[in-house]
Amino acid sequence: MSGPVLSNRIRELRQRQPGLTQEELARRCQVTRQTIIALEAGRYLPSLELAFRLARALAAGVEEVFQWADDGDR
Amino acid sequence: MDTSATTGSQRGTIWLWAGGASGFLAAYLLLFAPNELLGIDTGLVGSALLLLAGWSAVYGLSATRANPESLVTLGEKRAWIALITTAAVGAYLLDKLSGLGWDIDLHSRALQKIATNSVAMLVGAAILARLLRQREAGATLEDERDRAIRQRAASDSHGVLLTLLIGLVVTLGLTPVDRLPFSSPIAIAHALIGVLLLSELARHAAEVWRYRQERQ
Repeated sequence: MSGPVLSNRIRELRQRQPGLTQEELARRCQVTRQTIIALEAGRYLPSLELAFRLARALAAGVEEVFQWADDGDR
Repeated sequence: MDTSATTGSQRGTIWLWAGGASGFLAAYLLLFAPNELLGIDTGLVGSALLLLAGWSAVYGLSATRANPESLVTLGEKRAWIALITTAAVGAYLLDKLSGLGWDIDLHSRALQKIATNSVAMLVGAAILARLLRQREAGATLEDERDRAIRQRAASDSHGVLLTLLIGLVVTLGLTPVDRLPFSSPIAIAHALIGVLLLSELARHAAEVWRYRQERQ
């Protein structure tokens, strides 16, 4: 039985803002560009603090950026 | 056509080849060449070449930016430098001490030279890491992902250290003294240094592996 899955819409929300590159998003969130790449590819789970920073930089709510899909909710 | 990218890629490739050549020469001087050639300490020259090889490789990798997603972070570069340096120091110590004998007198000139060259390699690696940090100043150098990777690698290293120490203690405790390959205090000290080196090697290898896993 698989557990809960955390996905994100970072790339989609970033591309909605003209000129917001991965590098710029990384700068705003005070992380490396590779972390943004890993986040967009779903290979890294951010801390709560970083999740909030990302939401603020993307001008969206945390739950708009990250989605939690539990098997029981499907 | 992006000519600047092509030129940068060519320049990077040249630096990578230069780094590779320096690395081979460094390995030869450290492990296979006589301790002195024409009155020059080959170990010190090898250590300096190892530092040059490291810088060339890092510069070459930065210049060959073919795939933006393959850009290596400062954390991963530092992990690679630490891994290669630790492996080089370990190979160097193993080669020289097994040739001179594990019970070598601590005050001997040969051992002092070996210690000096080992320290030179470690200092060179620290200088290279510092130069890298200064070169990338202005950008975010380290973030929570780097710290998480280092933490997990340290945990792996702790496990390796415990396993090796327990192995050493059991070997020392259960093997008759006359059959023990290292029974003198100096030899046991060398064995403990070896255990420390191996656990550090495991830590840096784990860091490099985790960084590469996250890029796949």
